[in-house]
Amino acid sequence: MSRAPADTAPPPRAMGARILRREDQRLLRGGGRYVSDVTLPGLLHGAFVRSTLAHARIIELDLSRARAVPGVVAAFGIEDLRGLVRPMRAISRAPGYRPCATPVLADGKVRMVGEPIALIVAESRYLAEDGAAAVGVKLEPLTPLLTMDEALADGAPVIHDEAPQNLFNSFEQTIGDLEATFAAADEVIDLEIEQQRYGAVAMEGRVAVASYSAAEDRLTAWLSTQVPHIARTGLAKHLSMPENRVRVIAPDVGGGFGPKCVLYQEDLAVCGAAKLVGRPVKWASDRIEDLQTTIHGREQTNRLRAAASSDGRVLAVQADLRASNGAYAVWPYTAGLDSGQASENVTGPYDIRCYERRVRAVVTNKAPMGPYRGVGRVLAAFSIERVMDVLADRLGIDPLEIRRRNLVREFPYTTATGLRFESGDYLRMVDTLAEAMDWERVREENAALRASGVIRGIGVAFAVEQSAYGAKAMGSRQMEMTFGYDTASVRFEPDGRVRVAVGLHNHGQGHETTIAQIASEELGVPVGDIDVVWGDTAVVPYGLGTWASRSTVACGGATILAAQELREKIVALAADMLEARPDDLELVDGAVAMRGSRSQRVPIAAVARRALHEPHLLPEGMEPGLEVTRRFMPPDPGSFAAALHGAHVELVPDTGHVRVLSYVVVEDCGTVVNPMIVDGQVHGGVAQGIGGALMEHLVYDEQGSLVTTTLMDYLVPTAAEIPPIRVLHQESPSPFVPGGFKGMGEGGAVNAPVAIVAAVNDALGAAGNGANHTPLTPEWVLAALKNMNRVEA
Amino acid sequence: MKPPQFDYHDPQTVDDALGLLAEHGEDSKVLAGGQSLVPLLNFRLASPDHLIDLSRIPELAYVNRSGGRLRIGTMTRQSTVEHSPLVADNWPLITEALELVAHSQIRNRGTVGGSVAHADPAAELPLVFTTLDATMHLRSKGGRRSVPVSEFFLTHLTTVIEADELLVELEVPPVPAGTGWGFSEYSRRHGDFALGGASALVTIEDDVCTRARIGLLAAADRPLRVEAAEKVLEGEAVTTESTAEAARAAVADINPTGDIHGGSEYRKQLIEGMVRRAIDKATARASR
Repeated sequence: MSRAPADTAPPPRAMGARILRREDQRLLRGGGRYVSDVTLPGLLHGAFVRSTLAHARIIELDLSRARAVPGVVAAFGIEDLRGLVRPMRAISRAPGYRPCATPVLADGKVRMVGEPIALIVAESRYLAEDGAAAVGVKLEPLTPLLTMDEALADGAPVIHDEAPQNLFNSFEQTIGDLEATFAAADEVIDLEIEQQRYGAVAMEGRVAVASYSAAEDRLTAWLSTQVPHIARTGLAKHLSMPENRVRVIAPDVGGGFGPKCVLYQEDLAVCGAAKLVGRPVKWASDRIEDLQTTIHGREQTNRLRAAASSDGRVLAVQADLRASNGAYAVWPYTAGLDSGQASENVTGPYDIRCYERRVRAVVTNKAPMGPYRGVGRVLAAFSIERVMDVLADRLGIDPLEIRRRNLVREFPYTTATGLRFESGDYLRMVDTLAEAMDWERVREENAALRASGVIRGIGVAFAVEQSAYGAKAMGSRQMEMTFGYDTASVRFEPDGRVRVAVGLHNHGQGHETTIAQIASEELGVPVGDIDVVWGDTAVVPYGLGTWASRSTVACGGATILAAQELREKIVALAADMLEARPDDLELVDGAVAMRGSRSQRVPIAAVARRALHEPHLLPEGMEPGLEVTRRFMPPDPGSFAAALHGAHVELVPDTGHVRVLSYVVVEDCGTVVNPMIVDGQVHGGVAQGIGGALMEHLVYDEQGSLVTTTLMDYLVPTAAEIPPIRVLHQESPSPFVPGGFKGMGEGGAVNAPVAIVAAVNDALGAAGNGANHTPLTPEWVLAALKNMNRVEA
Repeated sequence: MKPPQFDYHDPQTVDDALGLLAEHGEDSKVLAGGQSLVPLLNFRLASPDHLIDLSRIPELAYVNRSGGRLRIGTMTRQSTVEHSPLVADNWPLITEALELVAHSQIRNRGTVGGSVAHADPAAELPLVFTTLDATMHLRSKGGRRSVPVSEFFLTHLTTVIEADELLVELEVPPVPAGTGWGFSEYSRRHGDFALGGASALVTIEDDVCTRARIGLLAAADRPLRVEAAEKVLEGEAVTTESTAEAARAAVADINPTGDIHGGSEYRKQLIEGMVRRAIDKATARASR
């Protein structure tokens, strides 16, 4: 490869560069440091005794035998922690929401299998488990309510006294003249969409280490969390400690996907135990605990009606959404997420002005549901995309064409529920996908192959991804705290290297690289000279962590604001050093230079040295140092990326196996900082989505015990099950975000289940009468194939 | 997920291991590759007082042929057999099945004898040795005995091995000339335990099937040889129709246990399909 001479080559741009993720240097070489790696002098190990029943009264808890087990240092039940740890109560003051308490350990009653009843602390995890085995628990069974129908039935027992009808949340809203629109419609579509319970199942389960210094009244907690500061606020509140005495460190985290942005009973119990015992305590969930108690996602239904015209326009949608939220609301987000977010997004990327939603968050005797990659939006996409496919089938219109007729065309566009799609070109995305998949030809080929017994289908899913929720959008939920901003602190060290401290958390997204690229672009400093720090509340400014695809928008935006302000000071100082006018200077390639001149320049390192180590030479009145902290509030109600997925599948006739032949994603997340990282986010999301479409299912038995408690039974797709995924980028920058970014971390998981179901339905020749549920198990597919053959015969 | 306390023994010879078994018998468990036992210990589903680790006994790890018969020491790692040219050239059914056993990392640790002694009806190796008419050699402090594979497996996770006995060698007779082989199974993910499967050996002389062996995976409480299906094939040319009939015969009397990954009826259909696939493969290879 030849290179242009140095004096004419434009400096390489950091923005948009395919740079290898810098964090992989340690993560892929086994050099990552996780909470499990934390060792402290005198460290003790915890094990929880958990409920074996889904719904029961606790008659007796006997810890005496456990306390006598050699190596056991202490054993705690609710009575031992009651005075120290307050119950969590996730609050929303929105109408229809009913806050319920989550005690640190079961208090008189258990509401789910796996609920922590006691904590045993011992010299090793082995001995702690010996102690746990010696705990005596007597439970009096109550009727377990495992389905939403059971929980909502008249006369059903009440799981929480605070939620008399087993409803955490319920509300209704009608937008537009629904009755008239349905009355005038040419087509009315009725569907019952049903999604199974599945979850994140991160490689690293939840882990907590707590160390308390009584002399200082200081608590340090290492947590496998996505939200160190929110966790710190939660620990301080529920342990009744001043927040400036609590430090949370979330080092490398082996996967978050949402469930690690809430505070758990175990986090509080471990901190409480460390305070009481006077020695540090570690608890690492094992896989059973992780599958049983780390929050689940997706178990939702939508009874859906849609009105359409004979030319294929969807005119109105009516949605009755229910989520099986499990036994507890999650702090601080409440139990309103799944059904609420689904309900905001049911109209999808389409221009549908008439919409009615009924929303219910149902209390059931299962693990809590809460944030999981694409929360609620999978059901929304599933719902509206099924409407599109059914309508296309009825009217004999191509599935891509029916979408073209309904897609939003002009931006900014505000949906019936108030979501503002700020920019985009959805029609062009359809054209791009059609070309990439060779849509027409593949459909013809599939039809031709049927004669020879090869059963193939192709399907698509289009969804808009609400990301980086704004403060007003979060505030409308009236929770205990309102999120919707984040922080970056950018500072030069005396040697000219840059340190960016951010409020996000990096657990697989590549933020260390992305934020460095953004800072590099603004400061003209090489990416390699920029360090990005995060995850320790004692080190980084207050921030809200990483969830809801917010980090590049919120922290990237804050980084740009801080860097721009810093840039002004650098230029002013360099102007003084060069005896030039600031307007004539530019930051480029690690130096401040006169525009058009190669010789009149001062390296940024010299500017930094002047600012920090030569304060006596600073211009009159200039403060020493080069450091700026800024916060950015993403636009309300968020920034909206869009993604169109296409799947091509084959059904294996003697097993019912769904083989994914090819997969294409057309993604528009505004400005792409690093295409390789965006591709990686898409790949991971699609993998989780394929899992959700075909295999992942948290199955409970009739008594409410989780059956899928190992990774032999809970089927996470492996690399062998994931096809090559082709990702095509389209860039419609957000006009409301510095840098033009839109969040995109979740879309892969949102669209993929929907696209796979659409492709399977197409293969079965049953787009109009196909599956409205997931997962499509081989057993279901084989039965559907036999049914199809009967119909064709 | 940590095991309860146990005493750990690592004998260096078979005689030492047999001595420990004679002493601790019912209170002990034999640790081979640990791919099934260690999870059982960690789940606290097994809690032996004594764990006797065989991994330091070199005399139990070998693959050779003597008198035309394959002999495999029970502590031979599955990957060793998988990559053995002797096995691939003469008993290719074993090689084909081993490629379907879990993942290569597990086959590097898992042993042939461990899998056979564990006797999971969904495991490939017990079925392969059933199909190949193997003989199982057992030793105890007091003596030794040999058991034909047809009498070895009793039910789920249970064999004829007594508490003081050790499975030391698997002996496999030669496969007749003109025999083709096929092993087919279906699992939802690569490397998982199969929901169902089948193995087949088909010997063809002058276009006629002179001998057939058909076995079913995950169809019953033990690996199942189905003579009814074999009889359908024997004495005739193998055709699409006879293959389908053999497959129907193979599953006629089975009632596989259903679970969350597939109900009994589904598994029955699945196994029928796997029998067809296995016979198709075996027939094509026999005719070559």
